[in-house]
Amino acid sequence: MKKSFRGMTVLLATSVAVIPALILSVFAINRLSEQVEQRSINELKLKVESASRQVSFELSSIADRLSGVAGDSDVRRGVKSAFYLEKTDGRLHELLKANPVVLGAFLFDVEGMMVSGIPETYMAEHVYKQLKVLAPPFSESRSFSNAKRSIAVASLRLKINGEQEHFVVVSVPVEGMVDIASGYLLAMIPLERLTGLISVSDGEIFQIMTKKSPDEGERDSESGEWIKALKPIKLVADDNLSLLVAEFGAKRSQLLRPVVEIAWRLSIYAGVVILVFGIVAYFLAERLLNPLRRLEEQARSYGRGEYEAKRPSFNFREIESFSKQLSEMALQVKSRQDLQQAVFKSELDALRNQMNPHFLFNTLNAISTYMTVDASKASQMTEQLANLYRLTLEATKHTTISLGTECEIVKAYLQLESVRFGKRLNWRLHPEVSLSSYDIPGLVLQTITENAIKHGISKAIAGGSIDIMLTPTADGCCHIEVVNTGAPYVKKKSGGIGVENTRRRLDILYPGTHGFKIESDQAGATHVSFVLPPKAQHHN
Amino acid sequence: MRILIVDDEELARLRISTYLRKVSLDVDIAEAENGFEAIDLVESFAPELIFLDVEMPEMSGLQFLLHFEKRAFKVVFQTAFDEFAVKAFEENAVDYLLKPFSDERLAKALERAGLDNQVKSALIDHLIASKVYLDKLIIKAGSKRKIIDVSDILSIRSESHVTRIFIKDIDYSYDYSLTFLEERLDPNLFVRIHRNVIVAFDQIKSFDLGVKAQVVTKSGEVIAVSRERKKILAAKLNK
Repeated sequence: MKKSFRGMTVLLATSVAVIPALILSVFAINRLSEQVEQRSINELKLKVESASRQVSFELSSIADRLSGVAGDSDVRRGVKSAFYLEKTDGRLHELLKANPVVLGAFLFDVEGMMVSGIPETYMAEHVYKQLKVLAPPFSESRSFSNAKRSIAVASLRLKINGEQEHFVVVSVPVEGMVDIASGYLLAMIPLERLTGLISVSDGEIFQIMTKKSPDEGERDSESGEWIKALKPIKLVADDNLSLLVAEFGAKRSQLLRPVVEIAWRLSIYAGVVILVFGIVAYFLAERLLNPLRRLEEQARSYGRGEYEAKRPSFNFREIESFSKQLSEMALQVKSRQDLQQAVFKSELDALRNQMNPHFLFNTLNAISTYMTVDASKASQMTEQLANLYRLTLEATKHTTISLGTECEIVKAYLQLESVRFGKRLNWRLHPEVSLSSYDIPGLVLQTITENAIKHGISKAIAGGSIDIMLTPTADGCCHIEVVNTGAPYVKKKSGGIGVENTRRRLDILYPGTHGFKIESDQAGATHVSFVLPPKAQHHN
Repeated sequence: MRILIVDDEELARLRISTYLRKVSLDVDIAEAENGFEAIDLVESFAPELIFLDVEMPEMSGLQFLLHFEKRAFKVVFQTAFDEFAVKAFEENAVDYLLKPFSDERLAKALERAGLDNQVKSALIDHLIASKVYLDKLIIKAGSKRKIIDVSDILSIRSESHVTRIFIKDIDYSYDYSLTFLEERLDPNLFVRIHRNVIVAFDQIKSFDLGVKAQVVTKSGEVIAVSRERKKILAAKLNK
């Protein structure tokens, strides 16, 4: 498949524009999304840290309040005496009212018996059982002062109304006598309520889990859609208790939205740039192609043989010079073609002239006459005719023949014409040069002689004479002159085929030197003359 | 039978005369080398049959024919190679000999000549239509004949039924009518401006084609132009 110049230019220009743009934008966008991701992970970490601080602050403030309630004298008495139960319940109610995060509050004695529980006892029992299982905060050997310093936090899962719920339990000891805890006050806080305290924005999640997790931000490995950060919530708590872990997550697609927007915008800009480059390249190629196309048209017109077609002009110097070369070449081809045509035509015409029907039929008629009156003369003429044609055929094979051969042809021709014209024709051939020293285009002298017969002798009732003179010139050339005294020369408009042809052949072989001319003298005789250079001066 | 052979080549004449003498004792043969001799011989020898060559110097065989209005002779044409003449013969069903020819062909031509072969007027008309014109006239001057070139003629007039040809300083009487000459002369050289007058174009110095139309010749002569010729003259002068 051939490449088109225009196509190549467009492709080149657009790829020059596109490839670096594409590479750059891919790098930039990757970089950007990484940074955005990293930054949002850091942001998430900060968020989860502040969330965890909020949670621990909330929990410790609840613990403080619980401690306040546990220190209340009515509560301290309530642990031991049923008389104060009503007051203890009232305190617990107040506590729940003041802290909506807390779902339930329970008071246990050291034996583990529940003294009071808000809101429902059966739930409290259930809680207690669970606590027993998890038991660490209820160690009997623990002194109050030790216990007081810690806020016991446990998380537990309870099935309530068939649904499993997660809770955080905060417990504080109730001071008894002699620095021994007389009971424990517990507050149950559903995880959901704790979570509800933390405000999150759209596309973010926040949850509190009761599991251990690394303190790191990470991408959700399963969907890849969420980016999450985890942070243990630091509590003043026993090590044995499970740690609460806050998890914060953000939707990746939402985080990366600005990046995607930038990428979109970039690709639109890139598209516009590509389009502009492509169009510019198209017109540029068009501008370059246009002269090429005209050049092609120029070459094509030469191909059709219109060698002299007008050369178009070009704005580009290189194409202009190429076009000049092309037109010079065309002119050379034309001149060579013309020359060949002229040579070919002149040879053909020479042959056709030689086949002059008047001459042939009249000679045949003469032979036919001699058959009856003088048979030997008839056979002699036949031989002369055959001889003339043989020489003629030989002469047409070459561009030039020797002057001697040409003279033989002329003699043979004139001898035959003498038979026809009888006393009306006198002819003489005066060779005063060495005939072997000169070449002549075949049948040139014969054609001139034949024209002298045709237009001179045969047109005059009295006939005339033909004198052919071959004389040397001072510079070694041969001057040839044919004089006929028959009917005077009448110059025709077109000059006559024979004359034009002879002149052209001499022009081709001896340009500028042959001096061919036809003149009439005062007596009415016609002189045709030209000059032949000696053999050594031309090599044909 | 009186037979005239017209050919510029001696051998060509010999060809025919040899045959004629061979086949018949009853022939009287005369030969002419050219058209002018032939015209003389037509009068003095009064041939019944002419073997006429077409290609001859100064007056072709066809032009020779144009010199006669009524022809008392029959003609056998002969030619070596003349496309124009051959075409004319073919178109007018005229028999002709192509050189070289056999004795048989010659015998056949003689036979046909005995049958008809008055030169048909159609052939003459054809020649005139093909622009073969007289370029020389044969004038009787006393006992001699004179050949004059038509380019020397100033005017031709009919004076009391005698045709007179005016050339410089002199005028000759001519055997044929103005109409005969008008038909046979080149219409680019001559124009008949009146029933009685033909003038050479190059002799017209000025002209007036008004009510009283006339031309003035270079010699200062004023010649009236007849009404019916006025249009023809105007058309020619406008060319």
